[in-house]
Amino acid sequence: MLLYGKGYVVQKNEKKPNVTVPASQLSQGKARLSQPPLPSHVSLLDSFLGGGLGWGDLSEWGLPWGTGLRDLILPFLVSAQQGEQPPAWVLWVYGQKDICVNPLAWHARGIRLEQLRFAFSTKPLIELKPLFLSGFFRVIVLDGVPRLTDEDYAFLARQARRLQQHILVLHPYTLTTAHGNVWARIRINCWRDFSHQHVGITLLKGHQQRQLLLPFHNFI
Amino acid sequence: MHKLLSFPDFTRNLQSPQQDRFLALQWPASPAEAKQLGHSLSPEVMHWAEDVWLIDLASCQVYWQSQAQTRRMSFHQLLLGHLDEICGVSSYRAVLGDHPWQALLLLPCLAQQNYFGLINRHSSMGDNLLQGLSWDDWWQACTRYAEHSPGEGSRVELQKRRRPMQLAMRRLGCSTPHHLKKMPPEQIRRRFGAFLGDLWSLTWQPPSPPLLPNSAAPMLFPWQSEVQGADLCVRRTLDAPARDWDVLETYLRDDLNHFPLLSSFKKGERILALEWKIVLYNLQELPVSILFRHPHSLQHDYPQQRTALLQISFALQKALQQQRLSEFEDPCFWIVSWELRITQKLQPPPRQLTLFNEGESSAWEELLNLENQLPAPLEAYALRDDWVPEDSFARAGQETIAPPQPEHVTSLNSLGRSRPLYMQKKAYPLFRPGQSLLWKFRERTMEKWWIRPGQTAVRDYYEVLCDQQLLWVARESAGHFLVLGVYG
Repeated sequence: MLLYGKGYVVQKNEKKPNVTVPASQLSQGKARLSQPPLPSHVSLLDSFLGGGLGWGDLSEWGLPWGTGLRDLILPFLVSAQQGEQPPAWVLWVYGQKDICVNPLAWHARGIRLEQLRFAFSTKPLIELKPLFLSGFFRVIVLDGVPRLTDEDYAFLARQARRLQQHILVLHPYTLTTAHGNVWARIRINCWRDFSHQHVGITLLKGHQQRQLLLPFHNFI
Repeated sequence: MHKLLSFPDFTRNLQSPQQDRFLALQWPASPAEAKQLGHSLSPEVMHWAEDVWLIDLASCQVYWQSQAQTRRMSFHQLLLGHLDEICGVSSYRAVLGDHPWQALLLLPCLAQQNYFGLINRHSSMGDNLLQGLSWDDWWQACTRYAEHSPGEGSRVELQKRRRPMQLAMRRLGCSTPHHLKKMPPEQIRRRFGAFLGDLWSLTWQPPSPPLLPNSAAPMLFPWQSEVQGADLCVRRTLDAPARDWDVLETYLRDDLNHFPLLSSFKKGERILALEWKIVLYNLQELPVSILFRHPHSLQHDYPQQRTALLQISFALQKALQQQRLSEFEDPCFWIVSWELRITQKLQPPPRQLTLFNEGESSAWEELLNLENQLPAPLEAYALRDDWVPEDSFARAGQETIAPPQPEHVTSLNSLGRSRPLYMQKKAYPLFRPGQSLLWKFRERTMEKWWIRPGQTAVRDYYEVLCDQQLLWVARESAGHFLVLGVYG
């Protein structure tokens, strides 16, 4: 088996498929591949992540619930809404039923509410499937959605790659290397030290494993 | 305990009833043209008098409001532009109101002032105009009301009670109904009967409109919908009983694609509701009602019909679940035939307008189409000019939202930065506050004591680390600690 480019699988003696691609599409595809990653504009975090989150990728985050660490995600969303042309639409799906969002807090952290949609769902891949198929939302966040299976991750990663989105899966607990995820481009654990008011970030998968300590006020 | 229970629900603002739901339109055009104009705005239209039409915008209000938002104008401006374009600037009078009766009463007041155009009943102009309402116009509206009411009872009662009330008003020296505005409806009811008492109540204190947008006619109003021409219907009888969605989907797609080919289907029509009447193998009929969140174009979705098929599958699952619950012993889900009928639709207007630009592809259209494919709507929020957490936002698209004034933005943002991203839907008491580790004072705000008497006047907010969770806690003047939110 040989691999040609991205996605073609052919037998060893088979000829490379003869596909003619119009020049216009080629340049567009090239532009997409070379599209710069989505930055957070927090310089330490961006350099830690190699520039930001890649378009077409799935990332998995361990953000223990009740530590205020979701604030870490918002700079990426702000950047998507304000740095992209046209401004990206963002979908935030949350899976806890006793809570609701506090829009003033989101707005105060720089989010444009007009281009953000929320959805409560514990089965988003069933209930919100049309949204994952459409590509309308460039950034999708799944926060605290229970029971995502390998098939679900495979589907999400495929859609993110196909539609050049970025999908973030946020877990309300710490990730471990014992339960890996081949579909996620990066896996990150975060924790908060309340006594020193800083946030620790550990990269489990993606670039080389390493840690970063950031003052919490960098995010708010 | 009373204090704890009286703490407001954080989702209170999301449950507010629809406002500006009814449009009363006086337009001296042909009935067919006026009816078509009404049906281009909503499927619920009533012919009130010779040239007066009532339009219940409930089922399409979100659609029009979001369209107004994308055009960066208010719902009122959008509607005004539409009516000006189609009726001509100085040829119609229209009133928007929460209740049809109040909207209708204002029409003769507009005529009295020789005013053309659209006004809102709740604007100061609407209030002023209603003060000039004459008794003649009020009685004429009452007569129409009685004519539209079912049975003879209302007409007989009006005939019987009208003269005594007219005499009493003359004796009291009340030249307009406004002079008696403060008269409680109970007193009118006691002296002049229930019919006039109800209408008096509607004139000055109409009941709140229902919370659900698709709920039918408002309370205390004899609503009679105009029929939207013949229902479009497609019938199918299967060769073999079927229950698999894959099989049903293929046939249903054909049926949906068949609608635009029918001669009675007009180009540009958008559907709002379908009825799928299934006949099961035991010949039992099972009606399945399919509602669309926004007006949906079958022509735009041709030939996949993805949106309609998704909504049909959601509705079928729901209907089958109910069927299972009601007939547990002998469930029979094999389908042998059906009738698919369009029950509600938006018709194209009498003339092609910019508002109904078919084929216009925008992010807004795409988003509405996506929302139509979901079993539940997406949540969209807008800010209000308010510092109290539970009042600081509302659902996006509501006409009555007052956005933060520029001079308030900085202080609201500063408040917002210290507040958590997630709130508890219902606040709960913080148990064992003394055992919490980290306390940080965040803000002190005043309650709206002038609106909600009995509530404590000052609230202090803290960040509290309790059981490894950072909570947002409020302390009321009485000393109770309530958990309002969680820093996610």
